[in-house]
Amino acid sequence: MTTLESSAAPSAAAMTAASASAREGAARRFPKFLRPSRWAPIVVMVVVLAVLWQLVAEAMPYLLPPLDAVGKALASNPLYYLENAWITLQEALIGLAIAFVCSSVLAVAVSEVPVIRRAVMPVAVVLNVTPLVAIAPALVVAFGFGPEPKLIVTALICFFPILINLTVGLRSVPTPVLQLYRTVHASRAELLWHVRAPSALPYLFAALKIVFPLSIVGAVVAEMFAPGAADGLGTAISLASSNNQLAVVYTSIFILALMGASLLAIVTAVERRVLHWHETHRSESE
Amino acid sequence: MAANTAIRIAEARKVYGSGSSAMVALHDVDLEIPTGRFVSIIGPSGCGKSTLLRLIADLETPDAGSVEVLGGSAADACDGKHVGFVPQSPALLPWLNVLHNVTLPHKVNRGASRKRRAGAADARPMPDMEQLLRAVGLDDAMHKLPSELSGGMQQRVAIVRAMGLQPDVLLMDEPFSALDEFTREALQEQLLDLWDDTTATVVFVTHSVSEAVRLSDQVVVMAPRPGRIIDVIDVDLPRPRRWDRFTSDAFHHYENLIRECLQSAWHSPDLPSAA
Repeated sequence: MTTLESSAAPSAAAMTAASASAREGAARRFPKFLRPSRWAPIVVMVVVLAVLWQLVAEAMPYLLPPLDAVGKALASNPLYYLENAWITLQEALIGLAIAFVCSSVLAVAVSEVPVIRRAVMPVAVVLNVTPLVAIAPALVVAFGFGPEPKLIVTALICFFPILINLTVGLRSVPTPVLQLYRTVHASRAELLWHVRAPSALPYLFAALKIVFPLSIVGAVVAEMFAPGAADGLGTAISLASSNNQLAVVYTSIFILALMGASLLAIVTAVERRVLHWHETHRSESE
Repeated sequence: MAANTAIRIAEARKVYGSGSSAMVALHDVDLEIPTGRFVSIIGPSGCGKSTLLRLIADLETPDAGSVEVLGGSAADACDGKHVGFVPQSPALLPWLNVLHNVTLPHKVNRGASRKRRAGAADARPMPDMEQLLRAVGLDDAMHKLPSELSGGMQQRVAIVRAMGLQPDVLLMDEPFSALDEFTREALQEQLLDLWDDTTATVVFVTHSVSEAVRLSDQVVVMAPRPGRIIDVIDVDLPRPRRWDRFTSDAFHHYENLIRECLQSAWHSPDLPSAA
C-alpha cells in the first residue's frame, strides 16, 4: 500500500506538469478561435437547439419539418436554392449600394448645411417610421414584378440607419480639433476629407453592421409580394408555404439566415482592419 | 511702432448671452504685445483669458473694439498660417500616427503655405518635421498612434504640430494643465528650448503663478466679473532660465507680486460699469 502511494504521488505530479505544458503548447499552436473554450459553447448550443427542434417536429409535424427533411430538400435540388439565393443577394446588395450613395451624399449635406438638415430630417424620420411591409405591395403594383420594387424597398429600409449614423459621425469631431484646423483656415472640404470623414468611420461601420443583414430582409419582403413571375428566396418561401412544403420553406429560411450572418461577418472583419486605431478594437487586441 | 507690436487689442468687449443672464467675458480690454515676447495671461476661471486668446486666434470676434494681429486682422493672420495654436487637450487625430498628425496642418490651406515659401519678406524652407519630433525626444514615437502615447508625449506632439508651421504668433491655452508636475516642468523647459530658436511671439494662458513667472517676459493679470486686465507685470529674470533659478529670491518676488495682484482683485468690489 505504502509503496503504491509513494510511487503514485510523483507520477501524478509529473502528469499535471506534462498536461500543463501540453496546454501551453496547444495555446501557442492554435489561433484563438480554434481553442475549445471558444467554439465549445456555440457547438453545445447548436446541438441543444437541434435536439429541441427535432422533438417538436416529431410531436407536431405541422409546426416544424424534421431536420433530415430540410437536409433532403436541399440535397434534392441544390441548384434551385443557389440560383434563388444569388438573385436575393444581388437585389439586397444593389439596393444597399443605392441607399449608401444616397444617404452618404445627404448626410454630408445635412451635416454641413443647417437649412438642409431642418428640411430633410423630419421627412427622413417619417419615412423611417412608415412600415415598409405596407409600402411593398404598392410598389409592386407601381413597378411590376421586375427587380425595381425589390431594389426600392431594400434601399428604403437601409437608407435611414446609414443617414442617421453618418450625420452623427460627421459631427462627432471634438471642438479643440475643429478650432485647431480653423486657426490655419482649413477649407470645409479639407475638414470634411481629413477630419470629419475619418471621424465618421466608426459610426458608418455601426450602421453597416445593421444594414447589411437588413438588406436581405428588404429584398425578401419585396419578393414575397411579387411571387410567381419573379425568382428569389422570398418568392420560393411564399410559393412553398402556399403548397404546404414546410421543408422547402425552412431550407430557404436557413439559407437566408446564413446569408445575413455571412454578410455581418464580412463587415465585422473589414471593420477590424479599417478601424484598428479605434478604441473598441484596441482594447480587444490587448 | 506697428512693426514692433505683434498683437494689439483695443477696447475689446465680448458678452455671452443677453438680458439679465448676460455674462461680460471681456470688458473693454486693451493690450499690446511686442513682437518676439513670451507673454502669459493669468487669472481665475471666468476672467476671460481664454476668450482673449480665442479673439487673437480668430475663433471669435469681439462685440466691440478691435483685434490686430501682425498689423492686420486676426483672420488675415490665420489665413496666412502665421498663427500656431496649442489647445488645452492635445487634439490629435486618433487614426493618424504622430508624424502624420504634425504634418496635416501643412496639407490644408496649401495656398497660404505656398505664398509664405514664395514671399520674399519671410521666405523660409519647410521645416523638417521628423527632426523637430526628434528634438523633443519623440524619435521612437514617430510612427505610433496617439493612443499609444502618454499624456505628456501627446502634448509634446501638439506643440511640435504648432511649431512646425513656423508661426509668428504662438497661442497656447493652458497646454500643461492636465499634466502631472514632473511632466509639466519638463515640457516647460522643452517649450523654452524650442522657442529660443524662433522669433515667435507667444501668448500663454495659464492658471499657475509659478508657470507664468518661469516662462514669461510679461505676465498679464486678469480678474473676473467682468473680465478685465488689472495689471501687467514685467518679469525681469535672465534667460536661459534653468532649474537653479527657480529657488532664487527674485523668482519668489515675482510670484508674490502676482499673487498679491490676484488677491486684491478678488477682494475688490465689481466695477459699477459692468453692465
